[in-house]
Amino acid sequence: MLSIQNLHARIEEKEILKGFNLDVKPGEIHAIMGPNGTGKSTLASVLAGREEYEVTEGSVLFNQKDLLEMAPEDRAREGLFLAFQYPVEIPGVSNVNFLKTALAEIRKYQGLEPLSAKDFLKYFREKQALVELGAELASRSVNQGFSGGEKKRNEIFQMAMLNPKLAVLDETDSGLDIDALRIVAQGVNKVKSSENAFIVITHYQRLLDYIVPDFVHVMYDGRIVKSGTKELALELEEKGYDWIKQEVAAEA
Amino acid sequence: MSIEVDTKQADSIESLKKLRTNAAQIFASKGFPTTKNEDYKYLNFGKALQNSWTEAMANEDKDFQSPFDIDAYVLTFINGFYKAEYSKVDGLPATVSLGTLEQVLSEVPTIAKKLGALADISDGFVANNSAHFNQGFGLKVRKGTVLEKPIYVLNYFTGNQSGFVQSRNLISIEENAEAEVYSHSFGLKLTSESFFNVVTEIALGPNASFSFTQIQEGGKNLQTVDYLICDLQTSSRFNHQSISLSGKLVRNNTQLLLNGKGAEGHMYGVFLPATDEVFDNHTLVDHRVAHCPSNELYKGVALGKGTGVFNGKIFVRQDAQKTNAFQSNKNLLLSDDAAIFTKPQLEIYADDVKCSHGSSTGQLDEKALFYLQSRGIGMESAKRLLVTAFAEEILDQVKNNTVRAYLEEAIENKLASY
Repeated sequence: MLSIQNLHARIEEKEILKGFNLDVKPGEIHAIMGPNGTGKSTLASVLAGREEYEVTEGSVLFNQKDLLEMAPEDRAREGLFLAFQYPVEIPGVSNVNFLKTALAEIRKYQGLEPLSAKDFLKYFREKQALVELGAELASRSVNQGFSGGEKKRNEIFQMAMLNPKLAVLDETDSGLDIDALRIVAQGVNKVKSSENAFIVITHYQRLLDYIVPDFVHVMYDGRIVKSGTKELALELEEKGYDWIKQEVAAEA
Repeated sequence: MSIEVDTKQADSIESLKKLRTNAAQIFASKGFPTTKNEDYKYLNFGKALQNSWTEAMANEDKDFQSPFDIDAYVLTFINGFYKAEYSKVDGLPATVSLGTLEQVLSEVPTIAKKLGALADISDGFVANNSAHFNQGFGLKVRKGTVLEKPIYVLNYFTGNQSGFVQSRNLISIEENAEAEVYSHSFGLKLTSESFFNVVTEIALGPNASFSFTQIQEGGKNLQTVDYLICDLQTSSRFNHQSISLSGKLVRNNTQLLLNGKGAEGHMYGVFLPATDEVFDNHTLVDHRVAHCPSNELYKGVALGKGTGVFNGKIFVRQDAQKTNAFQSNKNLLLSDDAAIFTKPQLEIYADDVKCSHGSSTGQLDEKALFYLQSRGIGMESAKRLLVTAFAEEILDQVKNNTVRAYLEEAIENKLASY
């Protein structure tokens, strides 16, 4: 589904991704962990198509198509979803109108008619319940005046609405209390199927108690330096990242 | 059907005769302002000022269709001529007089003294209007009357004759009375260049409440100079919403005179000049007495080669202590060829006041655009959503749902073509 080969990317003059490789197949959940400043969020931004990042080398194939060639909206229409670390507030654009427009454009891209107003509303309510997002929040302007936890829940709500093939969750757990974390994880688990896949970027093992990964990768200095199963996350939680850094230094 | 072009009966009123004679003299010496006048420097009216108003223009109503169907008392003017057949004033409370200015003047002759009492006749357009106005509407809401249904005044311009239409409106909302007017100038069917020079004088009695929404949708061929002045007595409240959707040239002169303690003035505007359109807003809030709040928010969206102007002045006189006056102008420049000129001004002669003004002009928020794109929304739709959202704060002030929905659609349509 997703194949990232030797990806190098920089922002301004600073190289951040330095030969990143990753393969994701349908039905898989990959966790990417690692210390601050190793390029985890850059990876998410490059995949979503943020212009500030320049890809200098490597390739990304998404469903056999060249992802890097696509405009951000086409990446989404192809089934890529990024849950932002810092969701943007958009005063004046209601969640309903926003998602109605997004869904209609995605469906149009897929050659489908937009949902009728009635069907849309039904679908909207159904997904809203999934992440326990109150009607009041759902009808407000996008993220405006939302608490940190509400913003993250709104990201997962959008994910449920757009039903992507691949969702990248960029530190969705940061700033969440335990209840919000449970709701977010529950949302992900309900959306999860054998057809879709997730990349979960996180600092902490905590989230992975709820969203159980098939693979855990440790990212350091712009690339993956260690991969394993969920036990690796526990080991990291216990021992921190220093031993990884030492391993990398020893190899060099 | 015979049409009375001039307001003969009304002209028999002595004060009106005087106004016309005096105004004609002032106009003869001043003429129309030109681009050499600092206040009119962005407006080149050209030949349209030489147009005239002819009876033939009254019959251009074969294809008439009201832009929207609203549950309201309706007055329809076509090319400046009142059309009773497209109007609807039945069921008005007996304490309300509503009709053409001529009708209202004959029904309530005493109101005539209010004509010209407020408008600044030293302005060439006001002077010309005062000397030569044709028709227009009058509204008097007597003491304590709350008019439940809004009033919709449609000025519909159509046909292929170039006209110069001068309308004069007079509104008096008495003590404790309430009313709401939607004034719509519509010129999308007009195929030749016409000019609309309109003057509206509004007097609000103590504790009166009045909302006036002006919707300008002149299309490619209509030039408009719209002068509106409102006198607010003690504890009265005036809400003005100005929505400039289209028009070759639009000049709005909107003036609030806070003359009674506790009077409250609110002005909201959104203007979207595109192509070669020039929308020029000059507003004035004159704080003449103490304890009055005023609030102003104008938002401009300039597209294509459009030019937007905001020139807003808050004047706080020496006696106007405890004034609370706020003014803000925010603009979006959506093309390299578009321009916005903004000049917020504060002139304060009292020492115990709270006043602020601010202005900003910028582009759409890149982060918000990317966020929308990342959800599958194309660039064009994303821009449209954000601009509509930008205008929303003003549209929120438009209480009538029919009008509101119409405006939202009109704005989206305008954006869709850029």
